[in-house]
Order: sequence, then structure tokens, then C-alpha cells
Amino acid sequence: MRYIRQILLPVLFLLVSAGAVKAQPGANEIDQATEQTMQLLEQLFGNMEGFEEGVGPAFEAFRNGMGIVRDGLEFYNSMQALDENECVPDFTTPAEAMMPTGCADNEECASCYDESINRLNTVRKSLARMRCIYTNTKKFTDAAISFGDNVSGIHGVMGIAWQNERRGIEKSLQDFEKTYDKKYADLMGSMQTALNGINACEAKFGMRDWYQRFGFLYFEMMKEKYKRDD
Amino acid sequence: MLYALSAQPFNLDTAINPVELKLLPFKPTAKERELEKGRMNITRVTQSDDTLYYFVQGASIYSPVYVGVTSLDPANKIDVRLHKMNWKNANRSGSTDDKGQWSEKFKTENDFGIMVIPHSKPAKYTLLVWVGDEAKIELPPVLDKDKDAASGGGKGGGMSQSTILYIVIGALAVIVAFLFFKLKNRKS
Repeated sequence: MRYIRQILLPVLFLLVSAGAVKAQPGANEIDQATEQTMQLLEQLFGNMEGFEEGVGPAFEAFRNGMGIVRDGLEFYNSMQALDENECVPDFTTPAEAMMPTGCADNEECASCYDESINRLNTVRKSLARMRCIYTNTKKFTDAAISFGDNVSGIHGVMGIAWQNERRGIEKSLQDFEKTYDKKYADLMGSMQTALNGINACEAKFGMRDWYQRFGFLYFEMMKEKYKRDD
Repeated sequence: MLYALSAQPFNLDTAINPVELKLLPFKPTAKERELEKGRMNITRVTQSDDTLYYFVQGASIYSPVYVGVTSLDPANKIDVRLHKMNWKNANRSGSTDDKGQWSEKFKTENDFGIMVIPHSKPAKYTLLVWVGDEAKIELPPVLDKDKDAASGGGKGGGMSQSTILYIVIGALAVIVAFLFFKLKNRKS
């Protein structure tokens, strides 16, 4: 009996206390919508009846906000970055780096160009985005380390824990830098392929030695622009 | 693609445990709802704590982002703050209006945090986060058909075909003008 009491009572206590936690009146309730709800919203026409409480008004507010939008690009361009210091991709090319073309008005040449131009633009977009991710990450890391250093100086005990955390952050940044360098090399390789493609079209329809005379300079400028310099 | 090492606004406070709002695919089929395509999260909350923290991952700097908070009781105002770098300094902030609504639109890369502080508790509200598909950005061209090529070899002697055409037209115009004046002078 004594053993039963010794085993059963703690189990009973655990069960009751678990129940008490669940039924605690002060607990937050957070309920994320499922894929099924999303599918119903995707097919939605007309009113919002039948959805869980709160979903209808929130979704209507969203659609009202989207109601006046006619063009996706215009909508995107109207937005500011969340953090005013956040890097936003920059696609401007200095005038001296612009490349002349000898076959822009030639229809055959234009179709020859298509694939290489698309590839070049994809690489430009990826490089600009990657550069921003790097800049933001570096800024985030520097701010986090500076914040941690300041706070840990005030609380002695936390200082020891912070040193471990700090090493972890620095290691993450180093790994991130390695990934950046690898991706940078891949993208520059892809850019070289795109410029070679343009060169082939130019040789056929426009200018001879286009890459040696213009493509090369552009490639070098881009290589320098996106190279990690710290 | 490359992802940043941060997953949420930075903090060293163990009392802050942000909830991740997971984005689900959202692809309306109707043509007129084309611009709603992207990823979405809708979360219904009954908040008893003074402050709740949420974070979202996977936004793209090429996508529009919408964050909306709708209070089920418009009389109970809710303060909302958006954070990027840390939970200390807010990048955007506001309160629900008389209809119980608050929203913001912006662009950002990867992650951001949402801090929610109701004026009275418990507070019932719905959070809606939408990250649209990437905008079809038209990049400024890097090939300039009007830019003169430097002298050198090639089919056009280093110049584009259109440039040569302009030179020929110009030269012909000068010759025609010259002949015209010569004939005019001879008649008089």
C-alpha cells in the first residue's frame, strides 16, 4: 500500500498539475490558420461566412488594402524598406561601364541575344540581393556584438555566458562569409557565360571582338563591385 | 539562395520567446486576384500577457510585405511595433484604429519581428502577414545602342550599323545641299 501510494500519488499529482496548466485562465491562446483555411480563402468569392472568428475581418482588411493595386511592380516600388538603413538592391550602372551594341536594331540579333540577356539580368539581380544580405547581416552582427558587449559589462554573471554566445555569432558570420564567397564565384562564372553569349551574337551580327573591347571591362567592374572587401 | 544568420530581432533576454508565424502558400486562382499571390499567415490570438513577440522568416527584398492586426473589440486598442535589428528599437509602430485595425506595408530581406501590446487583457485579435510573390523588376539595360563604340576592327569598323547609317544620311544631305546651292548660283 505504501509503495502504491508512493508511485500513484506523484503520477496523480503530475496529471492534475498538467491539467491545471492547460486550463490556466491566464494563458495565451495562439492559433495559426491551416493550409485548409488558406485553400478556402484562395477560392473565396463573396462573403466571409463560415470562417473561424477573426479571420474574416482580418482578411477583408487585407483585401481592402490591396483593392486599389493594379500593378504589382508599382505596388512594390511604392514601399519603403522596413529599416531605413537596410540595404536595397542598386542596379545602376555607371555610364562608363555601359556597353555599346552593334546589333540592337537587328531582329535576328535580338532573338540571338535573348537567352544571354536574361541570364545576365538574373545574375545582376542575384548579385545585388546577395550583396544586400551580406551588408545587412554584417550590420546585424556588429550591432548584436556591440549590444552584448555593453550589456554583459553591466551584469557579471551574464558576461561569461555572453562570451560563448559571442563566439557563436562570430563563427556564424565566418561561415556566412564562406558561403558568400562561394556563391559569388558561381555567379561571376554565370555572368562570364552570359557575356560570352552576347559576344557570340555580336560577332555574328554586330561587332567583332566585342568581349575583349567592352564585355571584359564590364565584367571586371562587376567583379570588383560585388567582391567582399572585409 | 543565401540566407542571413539572423532568425529574429536580436535579444539576450531569456524572457522573450518569440513565436514564429509560418508562412503558407497562398495562390488564388481567379485572374483578378493575381496580385494576392504569395505566402500568408493568419493567426488568431487571445493574449493574456502584457506583451507578445512574433517573428516571420523568408521575406525577400523583391517582395511586398503586409502586416495587419485586427482587434475583435475595437474599443480595446492594441499597440503594434515592427522590429528588424533588435527588440529594443522599433522600425514602425502604431495602434489599432476605431475599427480595430492597423496595418503596414514594406519590403525587407528574410526576417522581422512583431511586438503586440494590448491596452487591456485578455485581448482577442487576428494577425495577418502576407509576403507577395517577387515583383517583376525591370533592370535598367547595360547595353546602350546609342553609345558609340571606340575605333577598332570589326564589321562596322568598331561602330554600330545604325551609327554608320546616320553618317551616310548626313553625308548625302550635305552633298544634296551643296549641289542645290551650286545649281541655284549658276541659274542666277
